[in-house]
Amino acid sequence: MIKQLMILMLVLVVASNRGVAQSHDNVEGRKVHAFSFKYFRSSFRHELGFTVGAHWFRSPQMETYYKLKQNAAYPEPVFNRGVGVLNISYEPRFRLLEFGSSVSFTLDVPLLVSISGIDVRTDDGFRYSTDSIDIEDFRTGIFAKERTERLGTFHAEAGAMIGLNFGQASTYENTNRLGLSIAVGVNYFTAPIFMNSSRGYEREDYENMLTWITPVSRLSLHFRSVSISHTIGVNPTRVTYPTLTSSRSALTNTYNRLSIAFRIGR
Amino acid sequence: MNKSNLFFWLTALILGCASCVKEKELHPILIPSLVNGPITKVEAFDEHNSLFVGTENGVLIRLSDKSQYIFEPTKYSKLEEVDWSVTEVLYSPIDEHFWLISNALILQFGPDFYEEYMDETPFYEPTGFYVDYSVSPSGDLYRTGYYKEFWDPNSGSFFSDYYIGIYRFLGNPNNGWQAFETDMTISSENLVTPNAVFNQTGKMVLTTNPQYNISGLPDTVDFIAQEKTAEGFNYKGVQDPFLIDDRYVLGLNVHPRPFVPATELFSTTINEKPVSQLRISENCEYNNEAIGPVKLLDHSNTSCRFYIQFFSNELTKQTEDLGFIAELALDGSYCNISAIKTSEQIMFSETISDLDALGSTIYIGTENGLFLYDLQTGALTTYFDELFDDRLE
Repeated sequence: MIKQLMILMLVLVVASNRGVAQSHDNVEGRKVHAFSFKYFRSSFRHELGFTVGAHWFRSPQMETYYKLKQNAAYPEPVFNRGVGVLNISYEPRFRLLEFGSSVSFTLDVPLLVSISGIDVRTDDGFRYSTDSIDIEDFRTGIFAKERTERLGTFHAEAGAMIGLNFGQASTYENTNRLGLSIAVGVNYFTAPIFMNSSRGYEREDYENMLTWITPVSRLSLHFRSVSISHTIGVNPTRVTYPTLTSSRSALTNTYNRLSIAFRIGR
Repeated sequence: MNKSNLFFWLTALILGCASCVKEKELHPILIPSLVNGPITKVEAFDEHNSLFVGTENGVLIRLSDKSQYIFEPTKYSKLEEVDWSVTEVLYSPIDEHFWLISNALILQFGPDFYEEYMDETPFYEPTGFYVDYSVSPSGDLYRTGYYKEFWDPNSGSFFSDYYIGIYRFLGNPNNGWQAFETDMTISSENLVTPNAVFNQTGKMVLTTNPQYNISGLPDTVDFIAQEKTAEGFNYKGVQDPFLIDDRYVLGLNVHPRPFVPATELFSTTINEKPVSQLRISENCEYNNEAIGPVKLLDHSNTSCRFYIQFFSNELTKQTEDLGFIAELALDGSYCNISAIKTSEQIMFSETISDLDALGSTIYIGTENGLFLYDLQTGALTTYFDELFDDRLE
């Protein structure tokens, strides 16, 4: 971790030096526009996106599942895991600041609904159940029951990201064919939307495990009215847990989505 | 700052963040599966937040830092010889060792420490039952008893004198005792088990009548006899003694055990004659069907707590009580009774084999395992629940 921070600091220092060296290159007279409701049309952009398959995520650790082995309970992290089959997203982007005609800062609000399989489980696939345990279970070393089916289907995300945009899509008047955006922010998850109630899984039994927030970042390439984006979680947690003979680790609080989006309007 | 520079900055920031993987480590919890079976002994030492649990499948100890150690008969075969119906458990905070004494078997448990002794010392047989054990502040185990009886035919009295012996345990390899066979005597009319209690400076008080205040241990025994007088009742000494401020001695009229309740709480100033008594049942209003205080759980400077055993021949119902915890002011000014309620897990009081208290939590040993009862909320959980909750905090 310290090593990573040092690398980051080094990169930033180099970047900072580059900035000092090149600060005189700023184009004089470049106009800066702030977001305005008066010119809302030019300060706003929205798009409709789709993802097929390339979408999966894990929540932060929600619970701990224990396995009894030789007088000790070995913990494993339990998290909410989702795999998206198909999702549709709508994303308004508000241009907060525009620098000239080809650079802008935007507030992006991705809203997403996904056909997905959602489960609260361990890395080994143990489907963690909140059903209560009785004495007999404890005696035999069962500290949590296992569900037979996945917890539910469909999930939704709502994000808030600050984006930096270049070229296409950066400003209303930009006519470049190509553009690039980088965005950083957070995603709020609610998963699943539909509990597998046919198996008796109730939302209130899992209420602490169905919503969370994950920090994410996104890189987008724009070509005319089409953009391809890759969104990843930026602050995952590696949970290391022991086994009888060694130790294992599982990444939690992760996110991955590759999507294609189409600009609505200009 | 131009575009490429800004882009470089942000890319560096995002890549940097993406590589900021937080690390978290989970640790295994020692799971004493033996506490899921029949529990035979529960001793909590409130002052030191430590716990001893005896079971048919071994022993669990838990120390103040919540670290746990298990001792199973498969590895420590002497555990199979423990007669749990006649055991005494003591704790030595200085080395965090527990002493378990069961007849001639003396076992010592500690953090990664275990010692066993089969005591074959030929103690004075006629008074072999009048024996008490105590642990000094330096962690030494002491046995107090009698080593001879003497009747003077010229005394004109029917009563004989019993001479008190104090024995410091030496342990292996000697498997013996350092004996102090003293001139301290008890008249046969006051014959009781000579209970001992240490003050913080290592002085021993033998709570017999006369009471003996002893210094010089472990090198020698210097004693001062202190006669005790009681008005309106017979006073032979106190059992299960404890000290308050190293000035007052308190204790019970008998060593209580299931179905053999204590009835009186005695108190006396160490260096003075008078003894006062508090009749427990008159000061504490618990269920008439209750058997009474069968265990002294703990004490503070102002009060002490008892487990009041409750036993009914009728099947206990969901709404009834399993027993009571009585907190009795040492001066008798109040007695707070808290009922331990029945639950799905513990429906009948007779399933309770032993219990003890750590703060407001009652550790209940049953045929079905070890449970925790929160006196404030009335919630009953298994011992496992507590283990896991601690880890998840």
